[in-house]
Amino acid sequence: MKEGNKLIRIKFSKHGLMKYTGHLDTMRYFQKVIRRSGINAAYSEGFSPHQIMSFAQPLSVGVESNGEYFDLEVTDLSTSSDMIERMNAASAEGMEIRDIVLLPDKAPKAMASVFSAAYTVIFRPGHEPEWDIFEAVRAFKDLPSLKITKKSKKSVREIQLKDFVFSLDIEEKTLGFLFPDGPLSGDEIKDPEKKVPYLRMRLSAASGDNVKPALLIRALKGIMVQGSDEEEEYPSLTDLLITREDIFDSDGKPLSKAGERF
Amino acid sequence: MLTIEKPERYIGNEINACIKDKHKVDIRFAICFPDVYEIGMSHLGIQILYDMFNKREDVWCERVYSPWVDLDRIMRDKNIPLFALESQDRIKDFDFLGITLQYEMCYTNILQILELSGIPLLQKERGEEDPIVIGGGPCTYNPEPIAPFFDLFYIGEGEKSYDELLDLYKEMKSEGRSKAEFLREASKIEGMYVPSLYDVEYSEDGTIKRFFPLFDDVPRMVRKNLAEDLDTVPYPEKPLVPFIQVTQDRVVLEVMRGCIRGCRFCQAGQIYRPVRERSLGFLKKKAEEMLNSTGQDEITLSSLSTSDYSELFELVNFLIDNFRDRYVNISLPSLRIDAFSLDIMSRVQDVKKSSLTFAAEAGSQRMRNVINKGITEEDIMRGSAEAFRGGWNKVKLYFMLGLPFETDEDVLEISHLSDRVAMNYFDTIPKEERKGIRVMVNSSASFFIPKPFTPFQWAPMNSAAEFKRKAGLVKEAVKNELNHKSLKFQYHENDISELEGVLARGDRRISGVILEAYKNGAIYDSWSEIFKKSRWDEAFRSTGIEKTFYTERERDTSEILPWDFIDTGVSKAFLIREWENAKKGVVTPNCREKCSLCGAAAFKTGVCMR
Repeated sequence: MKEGNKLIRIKFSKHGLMKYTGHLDTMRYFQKVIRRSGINAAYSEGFSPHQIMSFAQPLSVGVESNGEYFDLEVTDLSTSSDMIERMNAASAEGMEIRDIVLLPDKAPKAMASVFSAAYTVIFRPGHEPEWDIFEAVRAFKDLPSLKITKKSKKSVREIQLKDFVFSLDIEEKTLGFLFPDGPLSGDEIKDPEKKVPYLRMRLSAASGDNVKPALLIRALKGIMVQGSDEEEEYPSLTDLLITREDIFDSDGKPLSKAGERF
Repeated sequence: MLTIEKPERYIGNEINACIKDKHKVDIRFAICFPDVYEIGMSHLGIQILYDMFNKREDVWCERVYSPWVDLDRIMRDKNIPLFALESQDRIKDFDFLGITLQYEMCYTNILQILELSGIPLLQKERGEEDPIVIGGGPCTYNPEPIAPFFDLFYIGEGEKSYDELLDLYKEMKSEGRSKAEFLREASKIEGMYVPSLYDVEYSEDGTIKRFFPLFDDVPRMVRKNLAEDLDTVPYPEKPLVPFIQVTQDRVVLEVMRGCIRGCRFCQAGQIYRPVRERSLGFLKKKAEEMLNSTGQDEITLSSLSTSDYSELFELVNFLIDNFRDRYVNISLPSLRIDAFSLDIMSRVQDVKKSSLTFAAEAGSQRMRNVINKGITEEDIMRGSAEAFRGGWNKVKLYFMLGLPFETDEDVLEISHLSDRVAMNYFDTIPKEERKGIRVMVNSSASFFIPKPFTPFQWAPMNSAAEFKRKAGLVKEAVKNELNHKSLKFQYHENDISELEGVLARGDRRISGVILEAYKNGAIYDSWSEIFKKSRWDEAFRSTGIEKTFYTERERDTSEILPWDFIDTGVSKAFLIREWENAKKGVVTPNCREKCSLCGAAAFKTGVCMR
């Protein structure tokens, strides 16, 4: 890092239509937000300089979030609240800056700090599970171990799922509670008093050991329905409504706690 | 939404998108580019009109693009009506659907837009509840092949008469007048063509016998709209910023409109006459505003021939001085290669990575004189020598095949000229300075398609087989050149060229072919991976229309052409003179050297007043 430059960590949320923007487009979006808001980002050297920016972890398309992070090298600072305000004034609806902190010297990069992530998961109305998910959660907790196959772009390996699930809770909520602003586009909520399962989970998110909520849901179904843990098409992209609530380091602290507001 | 490719194409919500209260506007206007989002969002004209309409408090203008084939299928299966990006409301409920026509191969996509919107494809089958479908853009200079699909064509530049048209609509709507009454009145506004108010009779030989308005109060000729002063018409301060990477993902600064050059194959060079520049002060202000409001990191100077902009040097210096330390790239397409432009380019781009493009258009000097391409072999050699000395070692040469009066010798000159440019590198750069780098000359040829309102509008077009033969000649010749290892030659497939030739100079009867082709599944015809020739062949067969009548036939200058009712300001007499000059290989000077009395001076603006 160049003498005099500072490293800040920016926490943002992503909701509504913005959940359809992919990771690369989200990066490109923030580069422009920073330019519009007049924040003095530091640029790399060379003939095509770019902002020195790194994201904690990509968010899957279709997933909303209350806690995404990226680090940005800047050449000067005003105050956290001023920068938050300026960036939000330059933001698209659905994207909001929640926090900006100054990282201490030698702080590990956001990406290297990621250890776990918290999610809430509900099923899209009309896509509720036909199997008993409450029983599945109880059984999962009682099982001494649960091995599943985890596939990534690079590898297929068997993992001990319980080592990657740090917490899992389920309760019932009414549709009216989950969708206070009415139905999602295209979905009809006929009975707002209807109770549906609502899951909260904290999963491993470290590089190479990232477990997505859908993988856990498939494993839960596998407990109840023999052989279904191999059904790669379940759950489909449209079955679940997932929100990442926050990302934590190995001490269990949200990544924004690695620095101080200024 | 998650099962389709790139859902961001359909969500709207972009930075600088305009959201209004639909209950507080009088007119809802859907503006459409009938191609995929990434192409449509790159188009300057839409950005200009979107901004201009939304500056009116009584209008809410929203965008719509062609759904990609994946969403198209889902919409048909599930009966989902086409919607506008901003409000996500149905297109069918809008007052206007304005479709920009930038190239002929988008014609089947117009029908897709209409059908998915639930609007009858044929104008005569539409009711009062349907939007008024209005076409604009360069293809309206021959609107006849698509005339039955439109209520109205706006011919010329949008800045001029839209206010008048929208005011008229608002007034007549509030009086409860019918659509037919509105269209009749609209036909009297300059530049408006209401095809249902005209009829055509044909002679036995298939040519047009008579083209005439059906009523006495409907004008016989439609004169194009032209914005006289580009500094006083609206230009966006806050262009839209897409989330996904689009084709033209940068701020676009249109420095001038029109072209002084008068190349005889070029339609844009004729229909946008006279050339009009924007002032340096205007451009500086807009550049600053647009970069601030978008956060884009690149700005491009746009025009048909940016080298001809009088204050280019000052403008580029301003951009470098003010924006380079903000890491803004400056891109300069369509520059003529000379010492001046090379100097500018070396200051704004990485010489090592970039390649230089010479639009030679033809291989032989004789052919370049025929097409009035005001560039000589000497210019090309001097420009390329300077480029080589400046550190460039990749050069692109653009050519056309199938130009009028072209002989095989002319065709072979494409190969020979490419070789001479490569040779020029070795003559210019001494061996010890070459550092083992091989010069690369990439030549590519496209097939010439005669367009309306050019001196070549009467010319026969080469057949597909003839194109192929000529391309083959060049390909063989390149292999035998001395510097063949430094040469590469490419040409584009010709299935589409022939069809584009029919659509470009077609008459109303061609609309039946387009309709049939669409019913056979034709859509996204400009996308080679989707285009299927068989859908069109079948449509020509079933309608009994002969392609060659429109492509390979040489027209007599006395023939009534389908687009003759449009007055572009450039006179037919001038085009005939230019056609004759082409036959003789006589060059016509550009508009700044000498006025050739084309007729555009009637607009009393731009270069004509100097």
